[in-house]
Amino acid sequence: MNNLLLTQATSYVALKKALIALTAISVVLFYYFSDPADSGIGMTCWINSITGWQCWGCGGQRAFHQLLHGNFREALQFNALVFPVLIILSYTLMAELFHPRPSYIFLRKRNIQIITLILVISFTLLRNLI
Amino acid sequence: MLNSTLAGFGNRFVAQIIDSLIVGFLMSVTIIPIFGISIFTGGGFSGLEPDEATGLIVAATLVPVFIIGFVGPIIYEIVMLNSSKQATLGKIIMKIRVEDETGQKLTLGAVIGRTLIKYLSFQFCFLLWLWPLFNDKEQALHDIVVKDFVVRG
Repeated sequence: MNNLLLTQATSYVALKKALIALTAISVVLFYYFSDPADSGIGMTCWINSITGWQCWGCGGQRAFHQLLHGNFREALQFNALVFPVLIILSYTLMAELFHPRPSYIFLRKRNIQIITLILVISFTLLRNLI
Repeated sequence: MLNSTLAGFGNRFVAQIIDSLIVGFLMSVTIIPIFGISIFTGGGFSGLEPDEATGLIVAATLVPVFIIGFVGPIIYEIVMLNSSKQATLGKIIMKIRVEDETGQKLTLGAVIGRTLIKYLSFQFCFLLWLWPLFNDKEQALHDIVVKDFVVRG
């Protein structure tokens, strides 16, 4: 009985890690070969469609495509937040794949939450005003 | 939530992937036989003149696609979360479920509100998916509004 439970738990963790890895690889390959600026395939932003304003995430897919091709300046121009977001996503990916129980305590500290909020709001205001 | 363990960001993420695959597959087998693969790329309309009649035809064609593509996933999630499992198929596979502050099943109103906020907020910006990473209780925007938790179970 214990062996059966252990096998089920191992299969469950393996499925979870396999799906996370597969998703990460698929997303990277998709955005490497598909340029959202040309293909028209990808998520569209309703804020931008409705108001014409750029939200904090607008240009993120195009920036990610440029970043995958080593074009850091172009990525910065499309969306500067792509750099911190990618760091967070990479950390999350590593934690989920290699840590038995990821906790993200660092990201959940009050000062980190406030800094993130200020950063996102400031970035959104600046990119629409300047 | 009183005696429950939080689901974990990874489990929630994987559950969402599984649900997306299920809903994506169901959408494809529904939409592609009717409208063809070009409906996803816009290729079917690229050669048409942009006059008023063409616009109406395109709009009339896209309405059912919109209904199946946008409303379908919402109905799927509402039905599944309102079931006795309190979880979508992805969540069931990942052994997690949604419950309210007292550990009970959400009311139908809360499930509808949660699902609408979830899909609408993600349409406005997919970066909102990262919200649970920064929240002590792993709550996304829709969880905070409805006051629910995703837990292991």
